[in-house]
Amino acid sequence: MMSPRQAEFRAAYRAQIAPAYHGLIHVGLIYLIGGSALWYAAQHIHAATAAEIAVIPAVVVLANIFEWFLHAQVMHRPRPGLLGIYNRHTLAHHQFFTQEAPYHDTTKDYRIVFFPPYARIAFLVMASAGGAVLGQLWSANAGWFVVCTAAGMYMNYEFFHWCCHVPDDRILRHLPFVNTIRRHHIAHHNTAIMMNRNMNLTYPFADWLFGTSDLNRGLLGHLFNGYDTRFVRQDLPKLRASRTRPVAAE
Amino acid sequence: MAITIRDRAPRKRNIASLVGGYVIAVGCFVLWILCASQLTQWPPSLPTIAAGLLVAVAVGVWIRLADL
Repeated sequence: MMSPRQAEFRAAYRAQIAPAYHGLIHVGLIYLIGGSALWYAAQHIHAATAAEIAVIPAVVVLANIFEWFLHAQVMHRPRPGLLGIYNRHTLAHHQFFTQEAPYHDTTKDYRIVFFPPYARIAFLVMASAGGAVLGQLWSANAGWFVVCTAAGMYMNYEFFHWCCHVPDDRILRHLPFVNTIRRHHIAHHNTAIMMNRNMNLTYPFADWLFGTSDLNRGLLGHLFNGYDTRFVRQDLPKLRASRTRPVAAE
Repeated sequence: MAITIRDRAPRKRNIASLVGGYVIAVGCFVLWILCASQLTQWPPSLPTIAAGLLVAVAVGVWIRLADL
């Protein structure tokens, strides 16, 4: 059930979206840029060794921790010089989507679901710099694997986040990892815990690692939790009556 | 983002979309050149470079117009 305050915020936000904005172009750009970068980097990988391939899981883990850090320490903290990110996320995204009404209505709402496409470029530059350093220090293949994996993880992030805010979960609720992050992220939209719980948007690994999850169970349980609410911690702050189980859109 | 409902006031675009427009235009152009050189030759032909420039400018302008 959407509160009048949330409905008012949504109306005001939508009124400010420029007429030239189109959600599908926004998403298309993100995936075109990410897909091109991934393809280009993959073209440079030849006869990779097992050690070089092991860069992929290493980058997945690092990206997971980075995603957690960025969400917890930048998107939810008003840092000087990065206030725009805080405003866009904590003050806008979290008012637009609450735990009680976490779903978007039209593709126009993609403006507040997905990062702006230039964030995609910024992360690619960072990953390329890391890849270049690794390429110089160790092997070119390893460097290109860094770029490929980072590009893939970014698209993974955006896709999973979109899955969290999609109204229809008839298929999503059965997909491993997707159902887990959907419950995990919708619970994060509870204003009582949003500042310090459930900061992962792909796989809740770092939340488990750093003890910032709303669940009280092991790593595998975290990763494959799905919609299960039996393990939700009972000592979490409760500002108002809320539910932790995702429900279909009203 | 501060939200205010505007009726007839002219829409004021965010500075982020201006900077972002330039960033994404440069990023798209570089990516276009890299992919084109991978698919054809290095350096890419002039028409290919011109097409990349056109696409990059179009994307940058759209980011600004969409105030993204």
